[in-house]
Amino acid sequence: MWLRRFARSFSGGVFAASAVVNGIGIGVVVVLMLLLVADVVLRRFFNQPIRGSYELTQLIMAIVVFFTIAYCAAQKGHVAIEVLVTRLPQRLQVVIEILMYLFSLGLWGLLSWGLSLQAINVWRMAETTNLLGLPSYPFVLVAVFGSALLTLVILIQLLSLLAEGGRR
Amino acid sequence: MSPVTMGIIGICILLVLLFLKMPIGFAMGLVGFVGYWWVRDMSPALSMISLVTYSEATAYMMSALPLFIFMGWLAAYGELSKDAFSALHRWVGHWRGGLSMSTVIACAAFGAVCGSSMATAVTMVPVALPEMRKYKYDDELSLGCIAAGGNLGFLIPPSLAFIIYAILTEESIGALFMAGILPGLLLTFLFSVTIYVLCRINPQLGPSGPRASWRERLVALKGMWGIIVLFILVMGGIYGGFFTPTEAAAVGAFGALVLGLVNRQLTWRRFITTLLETGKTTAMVFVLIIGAIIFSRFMTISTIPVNLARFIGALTIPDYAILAAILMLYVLVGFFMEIISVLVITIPIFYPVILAMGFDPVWFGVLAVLTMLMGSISPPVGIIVFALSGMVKEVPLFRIFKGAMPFLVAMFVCLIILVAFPQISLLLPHLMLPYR
Repeated sequence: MWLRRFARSFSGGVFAASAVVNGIGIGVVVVLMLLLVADVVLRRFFNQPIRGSYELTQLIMAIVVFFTIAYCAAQKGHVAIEVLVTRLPQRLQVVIEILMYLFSLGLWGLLSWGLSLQAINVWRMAETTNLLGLPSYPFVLVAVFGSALLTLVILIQLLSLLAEGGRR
Repeated sequence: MSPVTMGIIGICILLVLLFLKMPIGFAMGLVGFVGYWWVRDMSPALSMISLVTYSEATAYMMSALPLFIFMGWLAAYGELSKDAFSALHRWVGHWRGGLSMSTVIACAAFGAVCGSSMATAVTMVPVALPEMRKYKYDDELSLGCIAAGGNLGFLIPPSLAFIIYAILTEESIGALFMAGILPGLLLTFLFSVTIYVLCRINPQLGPSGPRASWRERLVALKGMWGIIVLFILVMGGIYGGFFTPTEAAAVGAFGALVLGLVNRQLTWRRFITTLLETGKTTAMVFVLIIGAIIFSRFMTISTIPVNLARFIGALTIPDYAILAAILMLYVLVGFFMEIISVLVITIPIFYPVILAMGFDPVWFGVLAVLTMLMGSISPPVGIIVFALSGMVKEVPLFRIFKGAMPFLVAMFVCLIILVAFPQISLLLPHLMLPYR
């Protein structure tokens, strides 16, 4: 009972957060498009390329990817193969699903941790981008944030499945 | 235990996880991590997965993906397919089965601005189906040709499948794009022949429509200019080395946005939907690729691909028999999985084998994509057919599968022609400036 209430109250917040963050991620795709079009036009016709557009593209991509993965998971948008599982008995399906959520949780938890270590490393070494000299660590932090949010989404999905599965 | 044994156990566990419905990218990442840990150690495995994840997400080559996805959705919601269809309709609509041929050719034209087979097929339904129904076309033929035509979205550049193949193999995106053009046109032609033959055998399937005057035809061509200009801009830019595939994608997306606005089809609400779809597809594809690359790092240290290549190289079976076996396997796997998943799972293992046998990797990319596409319109897991049946609920699923069957034969014929004449795939890439 408490589990269901907890999952429900917690899930609203996490899903809303993932939707907002996703909004930033997809908005940045438009920025990337405009940046590159401007770069091509300026370079071809005015011989004035935008300085560092190559590395800006890479940095923007960190935002695009890591800000959209959590929302995609919240929408169950990550592809999986369904042919076999749907033929198994209902109870077994729930057990398998719980197990798969646990595995996914493990993977993204580890990845969030690994990326944090990487962010600390990059920060300590004061790494910067080649041309513009921007510090790299904030963008690794974007990756940490995105995968941590994805981990949370998976956790919520696991908890609500447990709460529901208990009733079935 | 030898690394090869560990690798084989890893592959088996991966297959189990996949069939237990773990998201494909997650499963590959997890097995890749645990396998790496098993062969090496915990801490190198942890730093490998975090490095791969960050560096792949921010690799310049990968940035072409979200932009081409964006371009495709913009073209879809800007209804660029409508104009293409109505133009072609006036040119060949009066032939028997002419509307179906217009549909297939319009799919090819739309594929020239859209990189996904799903988007191509799905956008064609509201455009072409009502028209074909108006002229009493058989639903089986109508939906079959839309499903089959959708495949052209992946063969004719820009193509997400080719970008992903290029990323996984470190081949040139531009070369693969060029390689897809002639095979895509060949397949369009074969699909049209299929429709012609079907309607010859049974004229009830696709009666001839009204004949348009030459004046009407020329006027209708106006609807095509947008797509043509966009295609020439994007592909011409890559072909001539004017810009990188990423820049081409940005220019293409921008062009599709402008065309959609000129069309007055791209409302604010549709634009938001376009962005949401773009975000979802991007996230899905990146997770798949990142998972695949983590998995392939494990495969590399397990030495399976190298040993497999050496083993196959030492066999006395002719190379073409091995190629045939690999392609057969793709047909089979394609029956159960959609193409991007098949690509990310198998390319890390088979690519070294193809190189070892001395086959051209660009040519193989075209063959692999075409073979995997067969599964998307055939049972049991034909995702394009599933999507169509979700949109057209009154037609039973098996009838759409049945309608797509003759087109599968055409795809098979196309495959044989492409294997026999590698020049069809390789002519354009070899003419391209920065390549070779």
